[in-house]
Amino acid sequence: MTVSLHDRSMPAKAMGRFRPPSAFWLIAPAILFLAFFFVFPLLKLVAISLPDGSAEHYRQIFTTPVFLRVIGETFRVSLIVTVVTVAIAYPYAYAMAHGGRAALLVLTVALLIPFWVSLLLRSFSWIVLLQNTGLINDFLIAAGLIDRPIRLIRTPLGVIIGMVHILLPYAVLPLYTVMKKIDLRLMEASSICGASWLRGFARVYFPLSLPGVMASAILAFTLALGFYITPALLGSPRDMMIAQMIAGQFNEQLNFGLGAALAVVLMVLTAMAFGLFGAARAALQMRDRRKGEA
Amino acid sequence: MRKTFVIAVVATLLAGTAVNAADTTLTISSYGGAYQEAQSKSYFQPFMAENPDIEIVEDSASSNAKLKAMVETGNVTLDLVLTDDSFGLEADAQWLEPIDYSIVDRSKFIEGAAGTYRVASDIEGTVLAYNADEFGGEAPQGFADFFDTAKFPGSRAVWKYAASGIFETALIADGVKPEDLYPIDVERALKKLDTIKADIVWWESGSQSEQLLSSGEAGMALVWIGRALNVAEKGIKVDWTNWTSQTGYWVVPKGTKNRQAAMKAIDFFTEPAQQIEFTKYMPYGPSNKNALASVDGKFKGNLPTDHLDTRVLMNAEWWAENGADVDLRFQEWLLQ
Repeated sequence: MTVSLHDRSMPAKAMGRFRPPSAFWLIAPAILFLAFFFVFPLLKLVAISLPDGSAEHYRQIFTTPVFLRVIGETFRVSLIVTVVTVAIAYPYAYAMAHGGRAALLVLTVALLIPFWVSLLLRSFSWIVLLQNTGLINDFLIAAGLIDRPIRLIRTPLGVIIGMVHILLPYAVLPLYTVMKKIDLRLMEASSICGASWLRGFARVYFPLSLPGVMASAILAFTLALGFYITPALLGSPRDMMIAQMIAGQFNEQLNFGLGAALAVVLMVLTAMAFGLFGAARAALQMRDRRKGEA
Repeated sequence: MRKTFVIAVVATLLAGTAVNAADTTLTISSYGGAYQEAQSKSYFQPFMAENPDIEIVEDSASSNAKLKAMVETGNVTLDLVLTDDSFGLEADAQWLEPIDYSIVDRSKFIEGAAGTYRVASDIEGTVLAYNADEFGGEAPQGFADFFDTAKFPGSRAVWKYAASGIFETALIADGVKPEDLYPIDVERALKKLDTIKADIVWWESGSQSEQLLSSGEAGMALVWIGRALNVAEKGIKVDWTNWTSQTGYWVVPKGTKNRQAAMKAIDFFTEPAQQIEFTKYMPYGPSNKNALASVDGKFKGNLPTDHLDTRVLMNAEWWAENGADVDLRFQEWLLQ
């Protein structure tokens, strides 16, 4: 494992030495774009959340049980969704990476076609499938398996199904790029050394795929935190997520200050979660390096 | 296709050369869809025909949040906005031009339709709609039946919005008289709502409410009258025993450059001829009392203004004052 890493890092190192002096100008458009259309509005949002420098909105958020509960719920649902999404995405990406050309084509198309369909439409399609008078319940009743519809939407299950479906492409793609680069000869080597496939997978393949797992988990989690339409359509009011609350403050209550404060809280908490992921990743790399030295 | 193109080119050329064509451009925002189309046919186009110097440009969908942001940033691009009950009250003075009653005739409106900052365009209603096949021939009558899960079992759909009329509905069902509704007894209403909480399916858009009714997902629902009539063919019936009223209002954003033209347009839009024409396309009643008797036959009997005697009039001022607190309590209740 260490050997292969060293091999691989050689060309990267050589490239690192070549630094064009004008690199800054190449990213200047991106920086300017972000400054105008992201940083500036963001600062504006922070300013709106602090009318006359008063932190009243933040005090209200952290002392009102409704807000705390919704924030907690948002993180809980996002975490569950992330775990389920990555668990499904992992074997899918594996099949894409190592299943041959035909499998790659079919799986890629199957993954990307729903990606082109609007999020709203996909959520509505789930309603058609999952509602009490929907396809699944109608089928189960017609088949005599159940006599009363089972509740599939307007439940936490409905939200999780809908969100996982939408997030799946985001989770599969980073996993696939990492897995494609994993040298399968390492697995052969482990089996030559007497390891079973399972053992080889657990000790060799999986650790090598971990950066992909991390990347897809981060992507899925941060996207999940901001979900709005899907929980609104497929969940019960009890599954309310913070984005719905932010929209409500802006559109229904016209309370821009409180809405902005909620948005800032969501952003800060997301950044903290992101930092936590980053720290975990750094710790993992450190451990690997120490192992490599030992 | 080609013909349309040629016409468009010729029209553009003509418009460009016509003397004094469209000195003023009036940008109007409404709620889009069939509703705005009806307004275009019965209000906007006749107005342009009569006032060749004013051109109307349409925008949608109206958003109170957008209007507020627009005025706050000083970039007022809308001259006339159609809004809902929750906006255009005394509390919203900082974002709106007062209605100029030297241009708009105040005396022609039905009661409560002419305010300092807004003028009613049409009277809408949230009604109890039900699936006629659902309850074995029994038809729910009034809000009390909406809460009667023994007689009318199954799911019922309700708009997930505190100020949708759901609090008023619950209190009426609990025996409160319409004239004693305000101030709303929030806890009493929620306690009544608790009795059907497990059976409520919440909707958040008009199309969703139609879908719930027509698919049979909900046996009855509190929906906007227009939406209920959209699914009439699917066996959805309307009960007018109790209904809560909503209103579409014209407001003029503060700082518009076309204040005069906007006021003139409001006065024109609320004349009987235009409002009667509107009832050809939409089941919403007129706000002009002289138009009430002559509404078009198409929706007659299902216009909110045909049932003014059973209307539960919502108190927008009370909601403006207490809406934020009630909403928070409502959200808390939803999460329980």
